[in-house]
Amino acid sequence: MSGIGPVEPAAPGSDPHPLAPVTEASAEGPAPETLTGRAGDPDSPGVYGRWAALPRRTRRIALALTGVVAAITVGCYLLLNQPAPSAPPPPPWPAQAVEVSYAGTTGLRGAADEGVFAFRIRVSAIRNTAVTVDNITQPYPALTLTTSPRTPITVRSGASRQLIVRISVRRCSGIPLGVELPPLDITLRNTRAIQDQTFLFGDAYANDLSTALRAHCSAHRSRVPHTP
Amino acid sequence: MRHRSLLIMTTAITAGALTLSACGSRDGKDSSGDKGGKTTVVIGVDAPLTGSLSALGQGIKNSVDLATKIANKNNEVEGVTFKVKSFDDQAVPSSGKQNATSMVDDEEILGAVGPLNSGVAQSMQGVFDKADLAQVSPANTNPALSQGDNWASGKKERPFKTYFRTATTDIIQGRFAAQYYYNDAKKRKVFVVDDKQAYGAGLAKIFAAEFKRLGGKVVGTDHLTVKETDFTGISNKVKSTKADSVYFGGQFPEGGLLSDQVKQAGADVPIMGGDGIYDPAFIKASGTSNDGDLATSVGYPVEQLDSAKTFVKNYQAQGYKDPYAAYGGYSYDAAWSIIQAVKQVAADNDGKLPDDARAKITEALGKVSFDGVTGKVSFDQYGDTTNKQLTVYEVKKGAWKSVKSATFKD
Repeated sequence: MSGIGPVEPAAPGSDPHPLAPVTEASAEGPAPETLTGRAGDPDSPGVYGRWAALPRRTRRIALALTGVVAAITVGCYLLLNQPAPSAPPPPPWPAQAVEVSYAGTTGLRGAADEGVFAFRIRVSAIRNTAVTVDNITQPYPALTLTTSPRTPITVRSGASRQLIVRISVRRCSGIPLGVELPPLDITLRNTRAIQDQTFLFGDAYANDLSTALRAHCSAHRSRVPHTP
Repeated sequence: MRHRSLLIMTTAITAGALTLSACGSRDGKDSSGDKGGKTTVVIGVDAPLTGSLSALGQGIKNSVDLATKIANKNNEVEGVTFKVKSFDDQAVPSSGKQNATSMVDDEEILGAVGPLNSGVAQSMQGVFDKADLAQVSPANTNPALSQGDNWASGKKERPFKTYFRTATTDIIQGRFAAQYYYNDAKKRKVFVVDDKQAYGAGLAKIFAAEFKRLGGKVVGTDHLTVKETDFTGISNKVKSTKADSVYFGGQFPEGGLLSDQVKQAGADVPIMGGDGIYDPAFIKASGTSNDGDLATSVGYPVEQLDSAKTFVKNYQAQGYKDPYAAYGGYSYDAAWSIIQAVKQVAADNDGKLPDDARAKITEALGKVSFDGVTGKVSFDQYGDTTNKQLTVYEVKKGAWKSVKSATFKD
């Protein structure tokens, strides 16, 4: 900060700078300009004398204009010398920006007979970034997976969306009966990256999946085609 | 005129004298406050600071130290200065128990971070619990420590209210490893080895159970002894069973040698293990290439965690001799959770720590929630972290590279 600020105009009839020193011009040249000194001293030489000789109103206007110019100069200096604003941080990685949770079976009528296990998952975008679910798969060749709505599905920042996942049985051999941690592999995308992430759910998902597979395969084993 | 001058002078001198005396008394108050105004809170650290696992232990100790330095620098808890006292357990349970007793006896210690080994934790938990002294492990993964001995049958019961951890459990790690080995790596015939310790044996058992449920076969099992170096017998068995893979529950010193000797015996198969083998020293155990070997570890790769970058930068700036290693981030978060608990307790008590601070800090730990180095840090009803993330790493061109990450949500 330069310390130069707007100068208060003197009240009518008052001595504007009663305690300020008087600057006298030196023999080498004109004295440095100063806004101090007593007005109206007929013996003051140089700039001060000329300043004092000016009408009070003119002096006030000059002081005000000087203050304005000084303020603008300082402002411009500060503006031009401001440090560049730092770049905003990048959005988080997609896998760090979502929560995916198992929300139970859908109770789809006839699903078990058709070898379909339908359940809900909730996808929540928990950071300041929308996230798109590009694809959802599961790793067991004996099963297939579809979603409703179909992918890609975008979840707005701060919002949640429920998806219905349908797992169908292609064949009853090689099904993940009784496994404790069946995964879902989800491809996530945001403005930062495309990221493959595996999601693992607790006992409820594993139990529901096994129950559905067991119910279908034990009741309809003879009707399910066996692949060679 | 003279009277006015005299009046002005007298007023000035009096005002000056009053100002000086006010400044002097304020300084006096401040200096006595500075001496007695700050409370010292010590966080104890128990880890193997010497021995074969010392690289991991030093990383734990340094990361806790870093957390306290940052807390002090930021004046995280008004009126509190944090310090660290470290205790070496050399990965030996009896040493851990002695250290727990020492920490309990030190009144300045209001929370502890550690240990590294699940077996050591088993010997410490009861000691801490009797004294209401909270411990937060950055690395223990044995499920029984937080969910009781009957967790496998579904009867979970928290055995010690003072025990917390920022690392997830082997229930998830072992099963996730089995899913990866079977589904992604397409392994079907695995030979399972463990080191007979609480961590290694527990992890191997959980892995094998899930691998069999998937339809895989466990074609053979064996055990080794910690600090053993000759695994010729096991290596020959792996070859003779025609296993297409090995799963090892144990630590990197033995795991690295086992992997090399299995390959030297002519069984060109990968070895997979848990976070216990996830260390550069596993790869450097001998000159045999480990490319293709796999490990799971808790958490995400640092490069995918923006929160971890600040930690890495701060850690490096301190110039610690040892790297933060696998559990540095978890250790920092463990220490920070204790710091946050202290903060809450002080806030609830007019800015001071009460006489029963240990018990109150244990209680407050159950409610902490913050964005830490490893992600969101908070604890569930068992004292387990709610942030359960895992990564599979593969050795590629002589270094561990992340290949798959998973998030677990109950």
